[in-house]
Amino acid sequence: MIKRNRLGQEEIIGFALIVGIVFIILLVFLAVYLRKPYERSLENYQVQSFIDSVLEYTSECQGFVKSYLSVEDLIFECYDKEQCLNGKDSCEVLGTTIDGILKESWLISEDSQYNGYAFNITSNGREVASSVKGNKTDSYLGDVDSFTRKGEDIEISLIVYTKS
Amino acid sequence: MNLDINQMANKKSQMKIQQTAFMLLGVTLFFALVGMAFVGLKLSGMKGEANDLKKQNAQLLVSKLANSPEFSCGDSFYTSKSNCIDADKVMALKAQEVKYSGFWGTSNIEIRRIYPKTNGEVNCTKTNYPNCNIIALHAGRVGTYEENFVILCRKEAKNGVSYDKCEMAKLMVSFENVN
Repeated sequence: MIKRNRLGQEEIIGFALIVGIVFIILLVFLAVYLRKPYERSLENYQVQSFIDSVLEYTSECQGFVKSYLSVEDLIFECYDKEQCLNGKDSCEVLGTTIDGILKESWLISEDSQYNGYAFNITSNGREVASSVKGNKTDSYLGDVDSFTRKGEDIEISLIVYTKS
Repeated sequence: MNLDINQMANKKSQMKIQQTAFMLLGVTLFFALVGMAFVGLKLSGMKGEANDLKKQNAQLLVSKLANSPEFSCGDSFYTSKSNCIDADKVMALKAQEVKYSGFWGTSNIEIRRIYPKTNGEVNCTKTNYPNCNIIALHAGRVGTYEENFVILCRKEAKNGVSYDKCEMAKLMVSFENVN
């Protein structure tokens, strides 16, 4: 009777072990199948490209070396509180240019896939320009770019909040 | 009496043969249905995978195309820039687009200026350039688009002075879905 019971217990343990192993294999398979890091990294590339492109945009601010300054040059002009050659305020031009580009690039509406964005330009801890629109969500894409010129460290960050 | 027993035994055997036949039929049908469901599932998955692969290829292409020699600014605009498209070069390429048909393995390439904003969609031709906002290459078969941000640069003149004008644009590559 005891021998029979022991055989039964061993069979139950064996069965439980097999069920456990199958469950773990299924979990691993599901985790591998559901994870798609490749797509995410490519989507993030859009944010990197956006920051690179914004810096090269030709603004309405006239300068000495170039006829019209790029956003990258304009950041330094604004940091130094300089005026453009055509009399415009460099910080004002920087703000309107960035707002306009962001508005047309990351459309925030009910139909779009984006919920909001936060764009920031800082230099040595001081805010040079920023633009925030929409709502924050847990799902987002983002990138930070930094460069140095004339001893000034400039950091540019963009976070785009997505709906999914 | 003997005959009855034989008849009964025969009937029992027939019943058993019938049972076996039904069982075999049932099992065959079951496996055929399971097989069909599996093949159907696999085929639909393959279509999805094919579309995913096409999408990934388009994403890779769109992230690299701006830096290819046919599109990139090179050193033409003061300093070398990444993600910079030479608009004048692309217009020259557009004139030769028949020669480049199928070169990038995609159905449609579009460069769309997004800022400064212009009203409506104006396709660029030799006559209206640069007063336009879309440069389309191999325009025709349009599928799903993948896009990336680029800077679109050209030489501009104001009051007799030439300068570099770079505007915000989207580079869009379309691919056809497998139906």
